[in-house]
Amino acid sequence: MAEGGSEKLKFEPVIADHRQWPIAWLTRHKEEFLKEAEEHSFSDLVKMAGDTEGLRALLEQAIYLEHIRIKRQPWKVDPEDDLEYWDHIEKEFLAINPLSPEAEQDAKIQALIRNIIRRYLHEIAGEFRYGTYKLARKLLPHTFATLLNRKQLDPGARIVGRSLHLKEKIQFVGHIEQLRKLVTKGTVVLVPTHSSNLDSILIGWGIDEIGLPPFHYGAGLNLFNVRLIAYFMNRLGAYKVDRRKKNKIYLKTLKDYSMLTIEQGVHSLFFPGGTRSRDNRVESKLKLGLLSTAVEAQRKQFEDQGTRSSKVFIVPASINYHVVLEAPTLIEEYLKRKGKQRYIIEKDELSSSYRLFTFIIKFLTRGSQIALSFGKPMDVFGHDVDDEGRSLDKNGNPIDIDGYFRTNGIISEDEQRESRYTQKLAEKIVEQFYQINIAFSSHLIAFVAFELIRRMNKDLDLFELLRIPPKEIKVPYREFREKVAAVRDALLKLKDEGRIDVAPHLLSPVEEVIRHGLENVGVFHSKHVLKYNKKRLEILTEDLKLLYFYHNRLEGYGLERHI
Amino acid sequence: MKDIYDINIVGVIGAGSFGTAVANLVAKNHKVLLYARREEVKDQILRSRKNANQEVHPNVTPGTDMEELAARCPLIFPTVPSSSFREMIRDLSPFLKPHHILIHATKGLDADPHPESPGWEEAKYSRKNVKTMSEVMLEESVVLRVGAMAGPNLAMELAGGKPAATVIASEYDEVIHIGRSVLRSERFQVYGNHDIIGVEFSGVLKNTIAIASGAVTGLDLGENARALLITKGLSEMIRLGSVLGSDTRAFFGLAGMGDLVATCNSRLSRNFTVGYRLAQGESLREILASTSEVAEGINTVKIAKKLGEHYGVRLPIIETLYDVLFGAIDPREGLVRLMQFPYGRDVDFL
Repeated sequence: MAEGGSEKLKFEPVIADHRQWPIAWLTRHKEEFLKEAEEHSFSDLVKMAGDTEGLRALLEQAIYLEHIRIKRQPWKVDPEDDLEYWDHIEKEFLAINPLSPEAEQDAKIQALIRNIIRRYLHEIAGEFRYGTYKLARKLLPHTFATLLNRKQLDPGARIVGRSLHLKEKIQFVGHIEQLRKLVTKGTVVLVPTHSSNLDSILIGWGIDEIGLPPFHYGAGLNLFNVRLIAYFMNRLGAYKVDRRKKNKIYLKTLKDYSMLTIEQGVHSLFFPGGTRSRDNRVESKLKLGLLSTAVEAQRKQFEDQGTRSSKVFIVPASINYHVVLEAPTLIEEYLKRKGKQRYIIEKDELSSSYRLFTFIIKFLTRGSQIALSFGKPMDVFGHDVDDEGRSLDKNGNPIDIDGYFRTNGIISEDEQRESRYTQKLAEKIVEQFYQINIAFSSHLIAFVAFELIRRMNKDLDLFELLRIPPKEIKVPYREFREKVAAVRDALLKLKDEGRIDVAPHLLSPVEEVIRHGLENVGVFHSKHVLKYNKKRLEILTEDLKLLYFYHNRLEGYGLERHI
Repeated sequence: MKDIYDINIVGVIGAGSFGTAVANLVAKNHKVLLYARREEVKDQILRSRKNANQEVHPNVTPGTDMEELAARCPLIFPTVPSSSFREMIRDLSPFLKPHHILIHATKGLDADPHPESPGWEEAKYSRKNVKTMSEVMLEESVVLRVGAMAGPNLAMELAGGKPAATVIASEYDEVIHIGRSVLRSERFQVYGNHDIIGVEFSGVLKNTIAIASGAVTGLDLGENARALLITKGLSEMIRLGSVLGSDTRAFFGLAGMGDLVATCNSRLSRNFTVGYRLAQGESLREILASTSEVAEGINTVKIAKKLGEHYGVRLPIIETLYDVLFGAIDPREGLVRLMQFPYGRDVDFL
């Protein structure tokens, strides 16, 4: 990460005319596009179901699971007629006489399935509005500037250009120039790490800041519970992903929607980890469902467009914070649910407009640094691509990747094959996640402190360790300082090998790094994640779980060896 | 509709006895390009229609041009010994394209440093520097769809038209289907397995036990002893295989158990023959000097023993075999040592 890398750069929009943006095309042709998506999902589902029996099973599952969802996990964002609608579908379904001719039954069941697909599609699809986008574009940097810049509180500093301070706080690094070139050469699918609900807004703003046209987002429907967020998300190019809905009709509809938008050339973004990293580790297991839509879209391009087909580019990104506001809830849930079935957090530190506002106030008063890192663009097989978008083999020779979809010369659809390709792509993305992860001073000191505490309590397992009353924990400063220096050196070595990135502030003298870390680690939490008792020369914590959370960001690099 | 797996012409690389046998199997329903490294072999096949003690099917065309082979054949079976496998793939790689499918039939490992290089005794092996052939193919080429063929397939029996079966292992169903469609005949059955690493290690590790079994025969120790060897040998294979990244189930299939039973009883196996001659009093040097084809098991013993050390897996049979082969202890002495090993539970690997 170059010192102040992005500060000097001013990115002009790659496509100046907003009517040329792919997402604007999608909005203009929304109804037509949704019709096509409906047709696609419908015919695939009918094919998958096979016979009347299969169709019945499909519909029964949807009715059953949707009723459970409505009863057990109702959300504010759900349509008012939700229950009514599903009762109606159920009634219609029960009215189909199982003794009537199969063709007749099929037609009725199919009509219901089509109806459900259509309803889902209208829920999923976003409504990009240029007007709002323009407004948000003006508003957001302003807001972020305010958010991230404590100097704003000082009336004397107000005159100083806001954006300058903003750029001190948010840094863009990585393969930005190439990314800018590729958005006009093919379809970009951006796949960032996910730690906070702020990610969506931040990266949306970041995309604009580096001059890219807006991307189509897959955003958790729970985010839309917060009106303020929902308002912007709806108009910034978000589409909705409801993780409560697990029935096959929904999953298929969602996947096809994503796949067809990518195939259509609409740049897309989704969080391949599926949900915020609960323990703040860099994600290592990705959700393959949505990711597979990128592979499928690429195959469909080759199939339908032949020599005119365009490429799909996968670009991993990493979003790095000193503080994740939802950390207390996330880590609590992680520990509670470790090894058990996941549940979906509906309420957390950012789940109401009021709390979001409080958060903004906190940011206002303190400020905190954020780094956005864009990885190396790849094709859907994980090969490097050049600025023209050509895939390159390990020796840098161009290759034609359509061959991977060919058997005996013919492009074919092979779900099993594509699921393997998706798995391999996921591995490449994870590899890059680790490489473009940016170590901050706060991560470093949290890592060292927690590992030292772990070492001092060798015979305790993680859960026992985390139950130690924080008051009883004292890390001698001298040892702490020594290990911070050792791990920092190890990090720099890893950086030279291209296995991680580090923030410029990590290059300062160790004392300074520690001071910076202490000042920033989990800065907005009500408890101190780490503090320094100068008199007694001890490092203390007020919340071990949070310490563990921030420590985890540097897990997976074998740094424990240096403790 | 044209069957997408119906391939016109299939490539086989390596005109040794197994490569020739594979070429003949495929040739029943397909044209085959058989690549030989040396011109003499090609000329000899053209002249006599014989190679490696086998008749060569009329559908098989020998050649020495890798570029042509890659350009014409969407499906290629590399069957060269492990010690020259990486080099061969490197030579082939410039001509390989994403549409290619590779199914290898080599029961050996790629190790760096090479187990025959000077000073190999000092070499340390782990999964960082020991690769299976499928891993070599993935490392050295743009091809993604790779597979491995393994099982009780003694080349001479296949050549004699005796019934047999094999396993094609690949992460891709497609590779299994396509391999099956070109190999399958009324006398040759083809099974599939997704655990390619497991199948590869099954086929590789069984060679060590085959050498030991040859020694048991050479020492005339009887069938009880062989049964003991095979059973405990399989458990060693499984214990090592499971730390090397394979699922243990593959070892109970044709590539593991099946191939073990076949090679541990057959003088047609090169590995078995090495053990047998050792027991008859010949030295490894003498044996190696008098055989033209490679017994993969010898290098595998070196690698497997060192892998066991690295991962802390006790391998009494392989370790003893190592000392007999390279530490110059007498096979009889090795036997005594083995019988003194304090074995515990009968089945400890499941």
